Amino acid sequence: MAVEPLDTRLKRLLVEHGPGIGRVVSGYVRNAAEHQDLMQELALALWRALPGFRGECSERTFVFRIVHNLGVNHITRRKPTEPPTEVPDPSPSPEGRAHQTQQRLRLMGAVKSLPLPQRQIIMLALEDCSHAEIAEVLGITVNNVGVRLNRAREALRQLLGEKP
Amino acid sequence: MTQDSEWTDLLQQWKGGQAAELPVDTLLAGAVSYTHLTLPTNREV
Repeated sequence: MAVEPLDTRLKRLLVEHGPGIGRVVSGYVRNAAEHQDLMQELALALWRALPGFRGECSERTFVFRIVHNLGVNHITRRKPTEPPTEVPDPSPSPEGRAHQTQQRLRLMGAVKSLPLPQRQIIMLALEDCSHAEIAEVLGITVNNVGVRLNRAREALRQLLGEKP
Repeated sequence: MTQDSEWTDLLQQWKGGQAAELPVDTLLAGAVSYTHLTLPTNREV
């Protein structure tokens, strides 16, 4: 079987998983500039990690694991005194979709206000990852995923129930 | 509204709308050029 060249493979991953990657990266950053920087870091990290990927997990799990590692690093090294700025919205908001956009921004805002462990788990669940995939990405047990996800969903429900 | 339908709504909101296209070629070019710049030469290895 022909080996897929590295640049073709990276491009395919970015195209296939791009929208999900963009949303999850949004959960770790405070503005569009940070989003752009983290995306570029991710592309580089994938480029470096891909040759070592042996398919022990799905490509999506592999990608999200790198996204989460970079996201945690990003939060750790960020200056704590920097105030949060706008919530980056990776989607356009054409006329007639204003309500939908508003809902999505509200949800993203609520997700971003969750503590990091809950935020990570809820973002992966919103990306339709199975409990097993979430466990692999975050390095926790499947049982632990169930417990944490229930708490995270409840916390999110309460946040969204509050007046905006 | 049940918790399940609430969750389904959230899933739709999360993924809702048309996602902006990622600048895939720019990201790819950035990764490739950076790697080429930083790859050690034979002499360094």
